[in-house]
Amino acid sequence: MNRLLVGYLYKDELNLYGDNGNIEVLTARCARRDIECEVILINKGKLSVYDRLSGINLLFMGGGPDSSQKSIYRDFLEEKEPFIRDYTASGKTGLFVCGSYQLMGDYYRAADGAELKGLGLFKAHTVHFGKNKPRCIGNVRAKINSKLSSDPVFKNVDFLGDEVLGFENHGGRTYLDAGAERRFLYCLKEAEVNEEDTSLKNIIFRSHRSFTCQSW
Amino acid sequence: MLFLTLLITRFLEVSIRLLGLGSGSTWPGHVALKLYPGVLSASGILPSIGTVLISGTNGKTTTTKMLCHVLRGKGFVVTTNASGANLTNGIASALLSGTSLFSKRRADYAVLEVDEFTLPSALEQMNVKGVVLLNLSRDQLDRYGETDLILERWEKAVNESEINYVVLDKSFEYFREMNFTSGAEVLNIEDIPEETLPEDLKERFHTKNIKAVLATASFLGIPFEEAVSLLTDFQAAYGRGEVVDSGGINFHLFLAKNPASLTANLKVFEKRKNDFDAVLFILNDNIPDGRDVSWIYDVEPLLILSACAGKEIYVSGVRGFDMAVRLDYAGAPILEENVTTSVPEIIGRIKKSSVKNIAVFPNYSAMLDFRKMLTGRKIL
Repeated sequence: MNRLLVGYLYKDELNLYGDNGNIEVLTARCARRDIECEVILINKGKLSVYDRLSGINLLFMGGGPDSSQKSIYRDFLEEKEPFIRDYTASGKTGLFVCGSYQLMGDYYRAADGAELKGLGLFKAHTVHFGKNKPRCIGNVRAKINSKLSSDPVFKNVDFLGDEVLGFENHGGRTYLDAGAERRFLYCLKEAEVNEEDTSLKNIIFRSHRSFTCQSW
Repeated sequence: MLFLTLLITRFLEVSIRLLGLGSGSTWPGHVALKLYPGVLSASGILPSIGTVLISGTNGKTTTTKMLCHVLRGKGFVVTTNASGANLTNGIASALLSGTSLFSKRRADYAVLEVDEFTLPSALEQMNVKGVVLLNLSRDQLDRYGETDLILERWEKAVNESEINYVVLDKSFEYFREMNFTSGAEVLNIEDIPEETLPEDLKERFHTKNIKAVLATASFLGIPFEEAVSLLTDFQAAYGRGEVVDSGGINFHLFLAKNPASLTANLKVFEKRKNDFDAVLFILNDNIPDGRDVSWIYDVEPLLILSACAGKEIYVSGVRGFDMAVRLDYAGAPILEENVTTSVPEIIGRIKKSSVKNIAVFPNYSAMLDFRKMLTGRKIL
């Protein structure tokens, strides 16, 4: 496959600190590999181009402050939920950062106590403790767990054992609930994972069985 | 108490300068606030006519310096925090330094730039005539939290104060949504037509800053035409469009501390692109910069690409490699030998090249370090 169709959800609202950069980097990397890459913006409102949406093979959604998250929340549930459910059920790939992976989990409780119910696509919930807990801020360096090679999903990839660098900057803490797959945690934050704080700024969400990295 | 505080801080200020420990723009105020916590409310240090506070994410230093320039041109004595020390310790230092020991000689005006987070407490403590709110964008989220909270605190502080006027930019939706209930007059800088501003000023500075100064000057009784003519010989503040000559090379410093300021400065640079043969980006992640450098991806890649086109590109700073990668993704041609985290090394390489005019885009601590390396002088 030499074509990548990216669906970019809520570019205007959820773009705090470099979310656009993820799309820019992805587009630039595709260009270097002669992969045709097109980005469809999926904004607030009715999904009018559903035909084209079915061709999407990477769904991206970024993060934002509580106020932005709340501003898209109703639209997210009323207009986007069926599409996102169908999309993930069909085994395609998504990259959900910060506020958006929180909404893919069971719920997000904001600093003011307001609770936003998520789609429950993975068993996790996020709580923002406001002033009671300091923000998690700092450079993050992690190794992608080599043991993942025993998982069929990762058998053809060559990045296991590589190091990733990033920066985490968030107030909320994500907790895995019973029955959650821990695989994605090992994937990005092996060095830092502890029982108290299992939160991540960036998370690779693998839906079902067809992680499509190897075919790009 | 005020006399004793003045005496001690004057002694500190002189000692710091004599010992070459800095410019004395923060420590005297720091000590004064410890000795006399209410010092900012002391009428003995306030200027005789009035105080104007200038806040916002970008443009504080330049706007403050411009307004001082206009007022001084009119013959007023003005106290200011020109070094950019804009927390309460810097404000106290400036006010104390502008007052004679027995509080007999005071400035006519104080024009002070104030950190976004410090503004509410400054308004609470000081007797202020007017406030200029330039803009508010995400900058140092790690330090300040979300902008909505700052706006709420600003609105509350203005409403609880007795200020006479608020100057702000209503082209920003978040300012249009603010609700001022204290009876302060609100002036929108967007009411000043762009075409009334002189071309040479518009080329060198951001029009928003010029408009904010003219709007404030009108409140202070200086007519528009007169303020404009007073601005014609205005020179840039340190690091903000300032030119430093070193070894026959002109280094033009464009402070680029967050996405909004890098974007605005790349646009100013684009207007005068032919004056330059090279660009240098310096990115640090020290505490005053905010540790998070991911904001570099919030600048439009096409703007970066067109600014860099045809110019030699140099990159440095603690996070120079992050910046190089970012420029590379935008499509700018980066040569490995022009990237190094060591700033002295990059200066050496530029001096060995044939570059004569270079535009430098440093973030905050990078600008202070770089400027010191070129001039041998410390600002803060």
